[in-house]
Order: sequence, then structure tokens, then C-alpha cells
Amino acid sequence: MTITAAALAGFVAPLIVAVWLVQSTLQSAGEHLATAPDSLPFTFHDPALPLPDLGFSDSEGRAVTLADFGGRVVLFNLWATWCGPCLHELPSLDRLQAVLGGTGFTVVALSQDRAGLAEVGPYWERAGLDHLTVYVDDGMAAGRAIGALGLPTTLLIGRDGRELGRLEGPAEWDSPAALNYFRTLEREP
Amino acid sequence: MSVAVLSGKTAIVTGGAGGIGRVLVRALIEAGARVAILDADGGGLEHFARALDDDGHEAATLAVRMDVSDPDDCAASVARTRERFGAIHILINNAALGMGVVRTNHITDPVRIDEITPEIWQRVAAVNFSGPFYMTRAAAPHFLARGWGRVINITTSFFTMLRGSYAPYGPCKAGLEAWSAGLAKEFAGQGITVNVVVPGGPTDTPMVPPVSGFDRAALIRPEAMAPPILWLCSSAADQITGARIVAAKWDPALEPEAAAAVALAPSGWPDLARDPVWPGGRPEDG
Repeated sequence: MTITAAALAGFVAPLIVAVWLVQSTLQSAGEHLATAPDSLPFTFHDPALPLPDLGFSDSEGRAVTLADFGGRVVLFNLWATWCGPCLHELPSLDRLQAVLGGTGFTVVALSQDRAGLAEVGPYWERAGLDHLTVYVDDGMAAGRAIGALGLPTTLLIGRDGRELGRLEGPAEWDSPAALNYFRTLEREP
Repeated sequence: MSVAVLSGKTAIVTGGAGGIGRVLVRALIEAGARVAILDADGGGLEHFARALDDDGHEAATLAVRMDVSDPDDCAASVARTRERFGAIHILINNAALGMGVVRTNHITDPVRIDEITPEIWQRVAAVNFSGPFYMTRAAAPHFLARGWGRVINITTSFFTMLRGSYAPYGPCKAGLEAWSAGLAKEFAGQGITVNVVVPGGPTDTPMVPPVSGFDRAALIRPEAMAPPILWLCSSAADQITGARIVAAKWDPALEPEAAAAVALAPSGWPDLARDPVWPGGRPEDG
């Protein structure tokens, strides 16, 4: 039995890889050039969707808009201090930002807490997320504008400011596969 | 339940764009009521409102994006409903956050106390426990002025209230259950009934996500909530207050009174409250 199973696995595994290779080739022929790993189950839009110029503010109360990050691939994450799955994934977003954040790619984590900095500030100090910047969304206007159905919701935004896709629910954002994917996106023309 | 028993009535449903909320909104519209749909989920609300418009229900509905944890939002939503429809007769406190706000796989891997941050605890308490109070407080003057009103609070199974690793959801629902029983007494004789309806177990809504591992076909359908709630809203249930109905045990094929005989019990824990140690015997409102 054991031998049979092993033999079968030896036969099937290359087949699976082959199928996967064909599939990924097919997918990468679409508008979103690189193929997202299974661990990042984005729903992609073809073509990419225009986004309103979302406005929010930073920890000093200064107005920030999504256009301020223009020219970069942006991973735009909506979270809240009361959302367990959000808090669980934030450290991985922070590590992703540490590795890849720069002129070609950035993570923007926007809090959906109603009380803004009053709630987010104390959490942020405790959490020790050194690479992300605090952004708050007074009145949760940005969350409403993008039609987020729940938290966390994460948008992948192209250099031209259009939404390439979104992922509802938490993910491991700095797994080797994820890092590889975002690296590829960043380098794409 | 015959059609249009709620003709001329206005209802507010919090969490109206959610799994149970959408079912209740449609059932209320079909029964002839005008409905204010309150929800914090702007995307879901917009989507649902558009679907209702497409079905020709625009005149009977009002969609309000709001957060029941904010007392000002609650007061403003009640005011907007009254402005739009002229009156408010029915309040269904349905909005709630599930254990998914702590961790989505909480069914297969129980939540530990250290995972429940104070922010999560406060948020769930604000939505699930304080929200119904803020809403009811805002609507009560309208009910009292009219001498007619319905408050229906959606709580949960006693099993869920008391089970391990189910805080803050379970205890907040237990608080709402207890408050419902007390409020029914406060409003007794004033034309306002306060009742609790629960599905009776895990229900096929987004609050119970696929990751929970349940066989979806075995879950209670959210549609089960509609018949007992429509009955409680109708004039046939004028005398029913301080009650708790388990929707899964309500047989819609029976006459409502016969269905109620099986599915209805007092809300809260009146058996445990029967023998208080109280100076001078027993308080009046026992």
C-alpha cells in the first residue's frame, strides 16, 4: 500500500505542477501580469477599476489622499483596533513594509475606528509596528467610498491609482510567496 | 401570516443589510410595512438598497448608514425615519458582531482570553449590548406618545451565552436578554411590547463564516426568523410581552398561536428570579 501510494504521488505530483504551470501561464497573460499565490486569494478586476481620491489623515492630523502615494504599487489595508483578524495580520503587513516599502511599493494601513487617533494611538504604541504609518479615517468615509464589506479588506492598487483587485479577510502578507509576488509586481513595467 | 398585516406601520431594522436583517426587511415590506434599514456596512447597505429599488420597493424603504454603538447616530437615524415615514412603530434590534471579530476560525480553535483585547471587548459590548439600548432609548418617546410600539431584540441561544470561549458575544447577548425582560415590565400596560427572538442555533449567515467548518445545509435558515417576528409585530400579539421565541421551533404551517405554544417562553431567567432575598418580603415589580 505504502509503495503504491508513494508511486502514485510520484506520478501525480509532476502532473499537478504541470497543470499549475499551464494555469499560471494562462493567467499571467491577463492584465495583472504576475499571478498571485493561492495564499493571497485576491479577487481581481479586469480591467482595473478607477478609485475615488480617498482622503484621510495622519497621526498629526494632516490631510492625506491616496494620490499622495501615486506612482507606487499600494497595498491599501482597512483595519480597526476591535477587529481581531486585522490585528493578527498587521504585523505581517508591517514586515512586508519593512522589506519592500519604498519608492516602488508601499503598504497603507487605514484605521476604521470611529474615534480615530483616540483609539488607534494607544494601540499603535503597544503594538510596536515600526514600519507602518498610522492613518485614520474620520467618519469612515474612505471605507464607505470603496464599498468594503467587512474588515479586514485589502485593496491592491496599481501605479496608475486604479484598483487591480481586493482581498476580503486576513492573510499572511510576508510569506515567501507573498514577498515574491509583491516584488514581481513592483518590478513590472 | 396573511399579507399586509403591517400595512401603515413603520419598522426600523438594525443590521438590516446583514444575513438575518435582509430577510426581516423583505418580510416586513411584504407584510405592508415601511422599513428603515440601518447598517454600518456601507457597501452591503448600498447593494441591498439598490436591489430593493430594483424590486420596486423604493417608496417603502429608507437606507441609513450608521453605527449602533454611537448614541448620536441612533438618535439621528430614528429622527430620519420619523421624518421620512411620519411615525415609528416597530424596532428590531438585530445588529451584532459575531465572534469572528476576535478570530474567524473560533469554532474549530476556541478563543483564549488573551486574544480578546480591551478594544475588541468594548467594541462588541458597544454594538451588541449598548446599541439596542441607544436605539430603544431614541425610539421609546415615539412609542410612548402613540401608546403602541414593538421592541424585538435578537439575542442568542442560552447554550451560546454560557459556553466557554464565547466571550464577549455570549455574555453581551445574555445582558441584552436580561434587559429585554426588565424593559417588558417597565413598558407593561403602555401598549409597548418587548420580546426576544433567537434563531435557536448557528444560522446560515455571514456571521457564521465558511471557515467555521459547519455543514451549511445543517444550519438554521435565516428565513426561519420572519414568521414569529411578523406575528410579534402584528396586532394579534398585542398582549405578548416579555417573551422569547425560538425561531427554529416555530412551525410556520401552524396558526401563530399554535406555533407559539411550542416555541414561546418567558425571556430571561424568571424561574431563577422567583425567590429574591429582599427586605420586607418582595419588591413590587418581581
